[in-house]
Amino acid sequence: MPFHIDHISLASPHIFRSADALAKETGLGYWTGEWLRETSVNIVPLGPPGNFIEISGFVDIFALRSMTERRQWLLDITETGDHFNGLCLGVDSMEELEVFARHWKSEINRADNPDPAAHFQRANGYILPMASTPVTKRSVWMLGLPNVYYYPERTRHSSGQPTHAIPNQVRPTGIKWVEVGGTAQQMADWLGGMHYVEMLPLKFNGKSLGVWAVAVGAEGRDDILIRRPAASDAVPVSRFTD
Amino acid sequence: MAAILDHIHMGCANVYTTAFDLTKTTRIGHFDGGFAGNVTIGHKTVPLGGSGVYIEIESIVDPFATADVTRRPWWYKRAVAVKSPIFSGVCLRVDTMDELGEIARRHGGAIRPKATIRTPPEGPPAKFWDAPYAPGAADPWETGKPTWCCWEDRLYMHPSGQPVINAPGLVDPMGVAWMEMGGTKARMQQWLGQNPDDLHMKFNGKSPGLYAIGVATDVGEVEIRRPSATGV
Repeated sequence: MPFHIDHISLASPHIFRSADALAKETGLGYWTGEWLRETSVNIVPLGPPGNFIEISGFVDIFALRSMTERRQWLLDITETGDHFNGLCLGVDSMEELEVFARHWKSEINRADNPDPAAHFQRANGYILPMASTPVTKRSVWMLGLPNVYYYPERTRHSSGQPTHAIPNQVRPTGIKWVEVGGTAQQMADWLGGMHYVEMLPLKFNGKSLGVWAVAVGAEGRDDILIRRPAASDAVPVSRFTD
Repeated sequence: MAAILDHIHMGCANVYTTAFDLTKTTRIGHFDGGFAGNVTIGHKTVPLGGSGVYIEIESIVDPFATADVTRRPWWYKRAVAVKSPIFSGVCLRVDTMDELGEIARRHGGAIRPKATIRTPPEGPPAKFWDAPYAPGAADPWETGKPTWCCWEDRLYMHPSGQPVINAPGLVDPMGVAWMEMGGTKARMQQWLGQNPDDLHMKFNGKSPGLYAIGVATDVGEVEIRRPSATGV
């Protein structure tokens, strides 16, 4: 498939309560996803061609005794509730990913990193290989900008796993559009060309950068609109200008 | 009717790593039991088979609800202090609320006024009542004493009977063959009001609490050993 939206991260102060609330609000099911050290994600599949929302948050508050800039950011953007904190784009090959890495003059987080602690892990022991770029001093999510992923084992993609059977569950048919802050030109400048922006179902609201809403198609009912403030609404990206 | 073993509580700092490590070392599977209240993830559940027994793995998840450290459960503080998941408590099961009330009265308390509710991903909430409870009194588990619960009409939703996450090489657990407890048999018999042999308890003479269990499986017995509520 061409350059696409892969997934969207929704930061939460309590990933189980948030997943339960989102399921009740929308009828979208979720499954107990992966974890990486002190954080974990509950996954909300959104249907073809393979998208999902990851509801992410801390599951080990002991780790917060040692504070980092990223941990503090996650705390600050969830103190008042759920905030969209990441737009994750996708490509179908390492070659395509390398194009973006070159554009950003960056390295790639490699999918074959031998350190298990560098990967998201599932409860059945499966380690999810994924490569991404850019690799920067701080996550570009903190600046309200998207990064790009490549999944070598896409047949085991998080969007394709069975969900818990929730009451009144709907069948999602894919992302219709994503509302983001800023302008199309700002996104084109970041990605390296307007042609990339035109390949994505994005709507720009001119607000601060980041994701503000996701519209999802659903079988037999109206589209589902999930609206939450962007992380930059809680913590301005100007905090991270150095 | 004599009480039987219902569940064993394992308090820890991270339910994901704790459940995963337990499955990895014992090949006994687990599943996501959802959450409880505002403070904890309740529970990663490890069904142990037999007469319907499970391990309930819990930790704190919400950093804001627990910013006030006094809201952190005692078992969480202990697990962090000993840098290990602990066996925080043993909960026995009776069939009727009348039996539970009788046990509560024998210990000079009551049934906890609010049921313990777990919200599993699939819903509806699973609920049980427990005893003994007295306002302001310490949790009996904190001093290594078992408590009792009754699932009222919810046994059909019992965590021990739910499917685990499929993983390679899992064994089939067939019940708790023995429990290694601190203290003495006589003291335990006095607290339980029944013979600890009914529960396959053996005693190591250390400070009270649960130290280890033996789980029968289709490929032999598996031992799970952790620091107890009061000792290591």
